[in-house]
Amino acid sequence: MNTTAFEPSTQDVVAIIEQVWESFLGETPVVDDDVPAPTADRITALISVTGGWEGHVVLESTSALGSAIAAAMMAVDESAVAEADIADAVGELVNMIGGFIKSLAPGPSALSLPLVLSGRDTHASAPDTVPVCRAALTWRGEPVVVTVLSAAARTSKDTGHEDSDR
Amino acid sequence: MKILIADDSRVMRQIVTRTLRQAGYDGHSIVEAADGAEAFDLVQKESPDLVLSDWNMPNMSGIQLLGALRGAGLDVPFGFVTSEGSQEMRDKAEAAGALFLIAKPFTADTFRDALDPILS
Repeated sequence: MNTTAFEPSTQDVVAIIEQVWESFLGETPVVDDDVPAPTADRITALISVTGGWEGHVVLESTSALGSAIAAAMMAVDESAVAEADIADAVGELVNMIGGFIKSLAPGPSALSLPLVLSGRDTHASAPDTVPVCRAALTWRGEPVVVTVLSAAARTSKDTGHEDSDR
Repeated sequence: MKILIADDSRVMRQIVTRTLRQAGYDGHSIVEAADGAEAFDLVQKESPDLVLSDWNMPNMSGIQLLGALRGAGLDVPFGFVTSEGSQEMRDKAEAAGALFLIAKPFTADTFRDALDPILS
């Protein structure tokens, strides 16, 4: 439950994505608000922040982008990239984006280890959360969609407790 | 010199190794650990001259690793390489005895700024 409002801007998310890509991947992705979220053969990475702010950062893309990212980060040909390397590389991307979002959010808080899902039609959802920002970009023709989910705030009216009960 | 890199991401360990080379620190031997517990054992076995550690790792986190090393009387120079670069984390790192905290993503210049006082 979040009692302090925190809504990172799309510009915040785009800025860290560009920084990560520039440092480790070379050319930066291009903002494309019309890019649809990937459907089949998708890779989804999620990382959570708990404490002063509670929420999740979700990165969605395609397995093709995952393979290209892993190859670039490892400085190898894509033929040398294993499935585990793809999960590792994409997990590190969401780790860096999540760490940046955590640094902006009210603290103190903790960052989880990343969770990476891959396969056809995989999708990560977190109950009782609301999306507070979404950044959509393309890189080498593949979509990169990052969504920040915030745990829904509850009021005393929602919980059924009167203030005097606390 | 011998440098121990602790990170649960093999990809990131490779990036750190490559960035050390790009920063001009080639010629050092590298030891890798996939979590804090493995790093603790390897520090005792390998006696590195520097530990570069991620913060968030399974089994034993980087901050727990640093505490364990200092608790065991091991004063090996230690720095964090982590996605969490807030002032709060930097203060925690310094209070625990870390010499620096490099935030991911980083560049070779970032590494030089942090490591020159130690490795040069």
